[in-house]
Amino acid sequence: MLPAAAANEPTGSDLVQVRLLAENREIAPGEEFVVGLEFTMDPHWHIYWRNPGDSGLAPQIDWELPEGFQVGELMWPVPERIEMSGLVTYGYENRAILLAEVTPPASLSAGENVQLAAKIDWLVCKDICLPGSGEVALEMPVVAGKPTLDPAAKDLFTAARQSLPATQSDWNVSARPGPEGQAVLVFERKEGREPAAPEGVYFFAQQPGVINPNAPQPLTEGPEGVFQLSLTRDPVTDKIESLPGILVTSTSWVADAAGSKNWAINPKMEAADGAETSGAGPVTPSSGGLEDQLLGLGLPGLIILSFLGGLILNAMPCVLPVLSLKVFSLVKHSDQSQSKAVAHGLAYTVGVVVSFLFLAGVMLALRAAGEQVGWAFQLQNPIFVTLLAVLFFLFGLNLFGVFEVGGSLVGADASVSGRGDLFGSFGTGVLAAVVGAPCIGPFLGAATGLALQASAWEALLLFGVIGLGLASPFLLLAFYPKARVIIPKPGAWMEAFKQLMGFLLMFAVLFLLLTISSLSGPDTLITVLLGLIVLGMAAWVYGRWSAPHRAIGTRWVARAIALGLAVYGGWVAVDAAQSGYDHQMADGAQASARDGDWAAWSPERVEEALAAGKPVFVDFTATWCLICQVNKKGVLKTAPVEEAFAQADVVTLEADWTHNNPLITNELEKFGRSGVPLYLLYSPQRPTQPEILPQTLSQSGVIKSVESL
Amino acid sequence: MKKNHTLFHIVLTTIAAIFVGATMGNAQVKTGEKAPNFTLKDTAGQSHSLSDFAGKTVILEWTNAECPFVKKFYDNGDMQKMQAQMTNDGAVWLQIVSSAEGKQGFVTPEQGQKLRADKDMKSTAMLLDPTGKVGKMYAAKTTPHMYVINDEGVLVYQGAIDDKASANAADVAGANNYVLAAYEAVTEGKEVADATTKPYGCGVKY
Repeated sequence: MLPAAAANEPTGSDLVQVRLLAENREIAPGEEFVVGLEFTMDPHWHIYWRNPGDSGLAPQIDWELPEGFQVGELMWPVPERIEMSGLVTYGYENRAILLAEVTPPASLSAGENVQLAAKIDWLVCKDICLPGSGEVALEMPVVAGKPTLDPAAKDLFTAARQSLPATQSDWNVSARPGPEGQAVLVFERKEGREPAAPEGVYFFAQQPGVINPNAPQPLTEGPEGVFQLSLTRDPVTDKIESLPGILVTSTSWVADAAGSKNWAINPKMEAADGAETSGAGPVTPSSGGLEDQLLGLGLPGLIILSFLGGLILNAMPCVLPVLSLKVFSLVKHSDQSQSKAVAHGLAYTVGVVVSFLFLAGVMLALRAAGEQVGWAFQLQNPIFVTLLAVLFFLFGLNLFGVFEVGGSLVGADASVSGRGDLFGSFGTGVLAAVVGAPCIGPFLGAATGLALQASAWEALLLFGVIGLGLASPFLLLAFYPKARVIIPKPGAWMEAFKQLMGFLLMFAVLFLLLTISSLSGPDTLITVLLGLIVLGMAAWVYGRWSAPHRAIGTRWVARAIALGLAVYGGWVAVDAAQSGYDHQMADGAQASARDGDWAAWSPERVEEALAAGKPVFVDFTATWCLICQVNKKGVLKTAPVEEAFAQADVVTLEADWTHNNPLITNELEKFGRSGVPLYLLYSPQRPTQPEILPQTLSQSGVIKSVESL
Repeated sequence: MKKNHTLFHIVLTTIAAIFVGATMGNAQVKTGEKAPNFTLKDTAGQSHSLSDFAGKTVILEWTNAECPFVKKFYDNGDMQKMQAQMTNDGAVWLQIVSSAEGKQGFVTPEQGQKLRADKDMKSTAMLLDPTGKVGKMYAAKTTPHMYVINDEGVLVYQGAIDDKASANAADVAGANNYVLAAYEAVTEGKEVADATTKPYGCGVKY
């Protein structure tokens, strides 16, 4: 249809009649009064609310008032939702009355006449839209006494006030950022009030371009009568400070008989500053697929995720150093009774879970005290890592046969009974947890991240479940004797196997030494190694001269010498690690990356590169994170990946979290993580929304992501 | 007690988010991401794909000749002037008509050709999208609704033509023209300052 251009077709000005009315007949100097602008539309045509929605335009009112008159903000009636060709707009059909308060100057003198006027532009639409305009005016006399109400206008003003949104409600409402692209209104009943549950709730956002009017607004009910309305944000607005608007329900917002289906609100956005990144609130970490589906299940899903994540940790490099111990202990106990096997399995599980709970508890306490720590604080502490190295070294010597302890700590000695042996299983569990926990393996990114945002109890629950997942294979072996047939029976070969395991433990020591080297500087290593040698001598003295066949006197002297050497060696190692660490921190070494063309990460570097139009890849890593090392050596530092980076001109940055760096801890939390690894790929076109790569990288995956930049 | 609700809220919100995500059928293109490709016939019957114009800046204009907000820019030649400026520079300007047959703004190829001649339009082509397929792909809501795509095929601007939401042609002169600003930024290799704005105008007559 081309423009029909018929002369008799109505214009937008014909379709809407406007009147200006005052509630009073007269004006008293200085005394405010209410005026109304009445719009009457031809049938089926509508004008718009202050936020017109997807299309349309709010009426524009230019007041023409005499000198000294002031007019307040327009009061808009509750709009209707008007859907046209799949687009949702907010407006009024038939009639709409906008109210405003006018304050005349006190200097008016009785007897004079005053003219109030306004020029109004509007857009009126049915299936098509037409602009219109009109002018309205009203003459009013000024009187000295009390002005009288205009009986002719009474009904109109009564109706106008009834169509304004109510300001009272029996509910409290708050606004908070939702998952990406969402905002959430949360309703709780006021103390002592019992309004009916809201139904068919819809939120008319007062500001245009903040909430997408087209998107559904699902209302979900939670325990204790908490309701939650999910709104889809309009990408036009980056940051929401508050959410003024009108809430409508098909029930009532108040408990009394009269009821009220609408309610004007203006909640401030909670956690609007800081926590809100890229306008989307705390980022819900997502890696797609199963993880997302489980996250969608809520708390049960999180529990399943945590369990799965813990289970998978067994196959991650992080726990491998400790697992050798566990495997040895399994073999040793493989021929024992069912009840003993169960007892050992339980002891190991309790060791793991208790350690996870303990670590989580300490972390939460540190965080509550204002420390910026994440889920790895123990391996960021040089003394702790050194003591761990000492412990592993001694275990290794024990397996080598340098010394024996009655009811060995690691359950690796010849005697299979007794509480001491159970304690060994428990200890293995503790070690597995302490060493393995800081690895954020597959499925754990979201779970540990969300746990930090949750309450302390829920966080402890989730971390405990991760521990349970980690321990579960061994618990299963304990409970199902049939599963144990795969384990060979102990025999003479055990001695060789034991020594082999000793070598595996030495690899674990090497890993811890590497961490110390990162934490405290490579120069420290020699001193730490010196300490370890002295400790080795202590073990040798103890093993050789404190054995049961020695004379009691010899044994006591040997023990004293061994203790002295052990304390000295331990002290040398710990002292060296600590002072080296202090030096490193003082030198600000934690900010520097050691890897060639990978520059150290900083938010400014990311911004700079993106501003220059270059993509950015950030590797959040730590020396003690074995997954990180595997990814680095096996994927990031390989020729094909490096070539892909070079080709796309990617700026590669490394954020080293070996030391606790609060800046990095914060950044991790922005992406919903409490630990490393985390891999981000920024495109200059989407500077605030980097792609989050999975925790276990593959060459092809990284190259594909880089190529699709 | 409020604190203890936090996880509960996270959980609820996530469920709601998935629900919203699943039910929100309308596609939306994000500024900063690759503009989706499409193929449409123009008023002369020739087929055009967005990918044909790789390496060039492309401006998409959703239009409806009878919409007062569109008339605001065509009656005094303001839109034609912009079209001429950019197409002369080597940029591509595609008008897209997504009005369904029988609805306001719908044109047959012949009517479209005549409209272009009558109004002396300077666009590269006027594309016809009577099924609204491309309009919905780009979530075009109003006429005009403007999109600027850079020479790498990335959407760098979407939204209103300018910041004076009115149907009054007199407002064109004093307004801040977002499309012009985005176009200039793209030509100079700079970041577009206002990359997403709320479009204003008549609803697209799908």
